[in-house]
Amino acid sequence: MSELVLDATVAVEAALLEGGFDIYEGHSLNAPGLLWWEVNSVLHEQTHRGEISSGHARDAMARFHQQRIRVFGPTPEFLEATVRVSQRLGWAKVYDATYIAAVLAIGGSRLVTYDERLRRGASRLVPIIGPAEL
Amino acid sequence: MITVPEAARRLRKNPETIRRWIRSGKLRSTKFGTQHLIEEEELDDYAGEEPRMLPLPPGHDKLDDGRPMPNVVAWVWESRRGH
Repeated sequence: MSELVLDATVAVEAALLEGGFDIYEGHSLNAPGLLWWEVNSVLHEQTHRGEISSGHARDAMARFHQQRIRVFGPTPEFLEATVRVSQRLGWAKVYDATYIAAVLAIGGSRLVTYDERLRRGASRLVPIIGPAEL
Repeated sequence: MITVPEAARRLRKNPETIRRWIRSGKLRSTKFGTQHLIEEEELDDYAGEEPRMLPLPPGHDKLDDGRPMPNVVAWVWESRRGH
């Protein structure tokens, strides 16, 4: 069993599919609390834009809630760590840095994302893989 | 973060065009001394570059209704941009 941190891209993608989270079986899943807000926001926005139906979004959210994911709460220490990551990478925002800070907090863990730019920009700090590499 | 000449090279624009965009507020930058530095994310957004997805695992290329899996990276970037 390996420790994985999921970002919003992989959580949304897996939630859209029946059995989408099956590829993570046998791994221990982790994420900052931000993940829940991001998944909720993305599903709502894409429903609003007509990309997915409200039923599909509801099913996706239910699948997401069924997963056992360890949550990193917004403690002062964790929030400071996200800012340090952003500073090291020269980023103005802390969204992606929040996921990277979670990886740094769990020894030997890896970040799973679909975001090619994130992998390119942050692989020098933490191991980053795509879901197809599991 | 990247310099104005590097941003110009990536967008295939004149460096002065990039500086004009910065002065007019169209492109955000951070000033270090006399130099403007631009975030790569900002530049990608400005250039209208399509967010690129890493490969999908087998069986994940289509939604349950048969439509192709959307670009979820674009969805997340979009969600972080505005309201």
